[in-house]
Amino acid sequence: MILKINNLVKRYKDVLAVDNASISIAEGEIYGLLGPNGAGKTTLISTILGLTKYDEGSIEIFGKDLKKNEYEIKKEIGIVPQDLAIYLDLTAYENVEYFGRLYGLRGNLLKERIEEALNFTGLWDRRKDVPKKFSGGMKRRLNIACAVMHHPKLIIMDEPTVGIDPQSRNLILDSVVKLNKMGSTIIYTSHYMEEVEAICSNITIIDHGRVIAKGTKEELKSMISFEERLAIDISSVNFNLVDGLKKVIGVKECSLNGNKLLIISEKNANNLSRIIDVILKMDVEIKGLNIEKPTLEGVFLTLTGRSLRD
Amino acid sequence: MNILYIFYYTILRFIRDRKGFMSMLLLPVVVILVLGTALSSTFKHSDISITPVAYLNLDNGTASNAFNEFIKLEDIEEIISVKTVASYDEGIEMIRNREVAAMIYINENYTQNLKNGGTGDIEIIKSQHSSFGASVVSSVIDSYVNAANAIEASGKLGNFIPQFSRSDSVKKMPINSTGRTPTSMDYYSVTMLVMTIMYGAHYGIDELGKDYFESIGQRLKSAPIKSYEMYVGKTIGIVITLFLQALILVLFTKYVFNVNWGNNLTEVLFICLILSMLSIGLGVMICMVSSSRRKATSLISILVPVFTFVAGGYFPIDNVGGIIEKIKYISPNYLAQRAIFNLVYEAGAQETQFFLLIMVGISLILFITSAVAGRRKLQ
Ligand SMILES: Nc1ncnc2c1ncn2[C@@H]1O[C@H](COP(=O)(O)OP(=O)(O)O)[C@@H](O)[C@H]1O
Ligand SMILES: [Mg+2]
Repeated sequence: MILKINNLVKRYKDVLAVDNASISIAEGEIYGLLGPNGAGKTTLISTILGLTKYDEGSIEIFGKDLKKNEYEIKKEIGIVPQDLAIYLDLTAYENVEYFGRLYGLRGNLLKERIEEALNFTGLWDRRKDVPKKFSGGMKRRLNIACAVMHHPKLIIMDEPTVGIDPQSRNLILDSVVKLNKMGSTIIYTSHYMEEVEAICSNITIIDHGRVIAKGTKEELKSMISFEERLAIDISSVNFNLVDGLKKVIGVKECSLNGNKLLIISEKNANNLSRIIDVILKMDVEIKGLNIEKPTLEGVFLTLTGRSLRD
Repeated sequence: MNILYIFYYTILRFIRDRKGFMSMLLLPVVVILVLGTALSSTFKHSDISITPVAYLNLDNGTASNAFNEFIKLEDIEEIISVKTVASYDEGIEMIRNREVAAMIYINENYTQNLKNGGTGDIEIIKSQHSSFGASVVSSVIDSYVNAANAIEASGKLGNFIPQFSRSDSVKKMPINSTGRTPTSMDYYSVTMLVMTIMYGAHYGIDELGKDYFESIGQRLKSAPIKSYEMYVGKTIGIVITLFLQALILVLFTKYVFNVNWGNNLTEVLFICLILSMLSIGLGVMICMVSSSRRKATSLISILVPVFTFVAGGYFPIDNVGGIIEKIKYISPNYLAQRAIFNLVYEAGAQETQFFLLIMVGISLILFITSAVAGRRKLQ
C-alpha cells in the first residue's frame, strides 16, 4: 500500500471535517476521491501531507510515518492544490524551475524536466510568459506542471479541473492517465462524477467527512443496480398517467417533470411493454425513451438522497 | 542552498514588478517635495509652479473647519492656489476648461459621518490633463489626512491637540550642535524615508502571509524544504528589496534634491537596513499573531501614521512636553530618525549606538515571536 489512512478524525472547532475515515491506496492506481463541496476532501489531503494537524487516527505513506521521515516522503510526492499555487509574476518556465529546485533538481536534469513538464501540459510555447496573461485553463495546467516535474511516486490532485474550458479539461484528464502510465500513483479529488468515472479505477465517496462508499466503479454501481431508471419524453400530460403507471407491477416510483416522465422500477421487472401500453392507451405519444444505466451520481443520490452538485 | 534559491526568486519577483517597486518611491518623493515646501517658510522652491485647484465645501459642521484652516496656510498656498467654488458643476467646468488641476470636494455629511464613527472623505476630482498637478493635490490632501488621523489617534491617548503652525517649526529642531540646521527638505527626507521603510511592513505581511495562509504556502510546505529555510530566504529577500528602495530614495534625494545626508552615508544606510529588518519583522509578527492578512494590513495602516506622527514625521513636535514626549520613544520611527539626524549632524554618537541596539533588539524579538507563532500555526 502506498497510502494507508486509518480511522482519521479531524475537527475544526464545531465542524467535523473528517469523520473516522479509512482509506488504502495501492501502488499504480488512479484513486478517485469523490464528494460534493464541503465533503472534507481538501482537509483529508492536507492531513496526508502534514499541512493540517489531525485529532485521531494514523497515516502511513510509502509504509512510513510522515513525521519521522518527512524529508524523504515529501520528495516523492507532488501536490496540485485546489487553489492555484503558482507565482503570477514569474514566467511559466521560472515557476517550474523554482519548484524543481526546491525538489532538489539541478543542472541538466532540471532543464530536461522543466521542458518535459511544460511540453506535457502544452505550455512550452508560452514558457516565457507570465501566468498573469494566461487563461484559467493554462494556469491550471501550470499548477500541474509545477507538481510533476520531479517524477513523484505519488501525485495528489485536488480538483484540478474546477472552472476551466472543456479543452483544457480533456488535456488535463489525458495527462493524468499519462502520468499514471509513467509510473505515478495518483489521488484524484473531484466533485465531478464524470471525471472520476472516466479515469479512476478505485473510488471512495465521501460526504460530511464520512466515507459513505468505496470500491471499484463496478462495485459501487452494483450497489444501486437493484433498480432501473426509465426516462420518457411524452407529447402531452395526462393527469391519470402517473397514477396509472404506479399501478404497473414492479414500478416503485413515478414522477412527472414537465413533459418528462421518470420511472424507477425494481430490477428485472420486465415491465417495459406494460409501461408503454399504459402510456399509449391514454392517447399520449412517446417522443423519446431512455433507459438509464447506473452512474456514480446515481450511487451518491441513492446513498444520500442528494445530488452531487446542489 | 534552498535559502539562496528562495531569496533569489523572492527578490526577482519584487524587482520585476517595477510599477509596484517604483510606486513605493513615488509617494515619498512627492510627499518630501510637498511637505518640504508646504510646512516651511524658509525653504522656497521656486521651480515648482503653484497648482490651481477648485475647492467646494458643502459641510456646515465643524469637522471640516480644520481643513479650511489648513489650506489657508501661507505655506500651502505656495503649492496650491485654492479657488473656492459655489457648486459641484462649477468645479467640474473649471477642470474641463483646464483652469484647475483638480477639485477638492467635501460633501454635506462630512461632519455627520465623522460623528457617527464613519469616515469623512475628502474627495479629489482629478483632471486628466494635469496628472502631475493632480498628484500634488493628492499628496497635500494625503498629508493632511494622515496628520489628522494621527492627531485623532493620539488625542485618544492624551489630550494633545496640536495646531498647524504657521511659523517654521523646523527651526525648533534641537539637533544643531554643530551649528547646522536642517532645511525642511532635509528634515522631511529623513522622516519620509523612515516612514516609507516602516510601510514596508506590508511586504512582510503579504509575502509571509501568502506562504502561510494561501495556496502557494501549501506547495511550499509540502516541498522537501525545512520551514526555517523558507522563512529565512523569504525574509532576507523582502528585507533586501525594502533596503534597495531606501537606497534609491537616499541617492535620489541626495543627487536630485541636494538633500544633506552628511558624511556618514554608509552608517545612515546601515540604519536603513536595520530599520528594514525591524519593519519587515513587525509586519510578519502581526500577520502571524493575528492569522489574518487583512487584519494585519489594517493594523499597519493605523500604526505607521501614528508612529510617524509621534516621531514628528509630519511636523516636528520636539519639546512639546506631555504624553507625546514620552510615547515617542516607542516609535521605531523616532529611534531611526534620531539616529540618522545624529549621524548627519555629527552629534550624539552614544545615543545613536544605543538606539541602534534597541532597534536590533526589537527586530530580534519580532522575528522570534513570529517564528514561535508560525510554528504553532503549522501543526
Ligand atoms: N480552516 C478551516 N477552518 C474551519 N473549518 C474548515 C476549514 N477548512 C475547511 N473547513 C470546513 O471543513 C469542511 C470540509 O471542507 P473541505 O475539506 O474544504 O471540503 P472539500 O474539499 O471536500 O470541498 C467544510 O465544512 C468546511 O467548511
Ligand atoms: Mg476542496
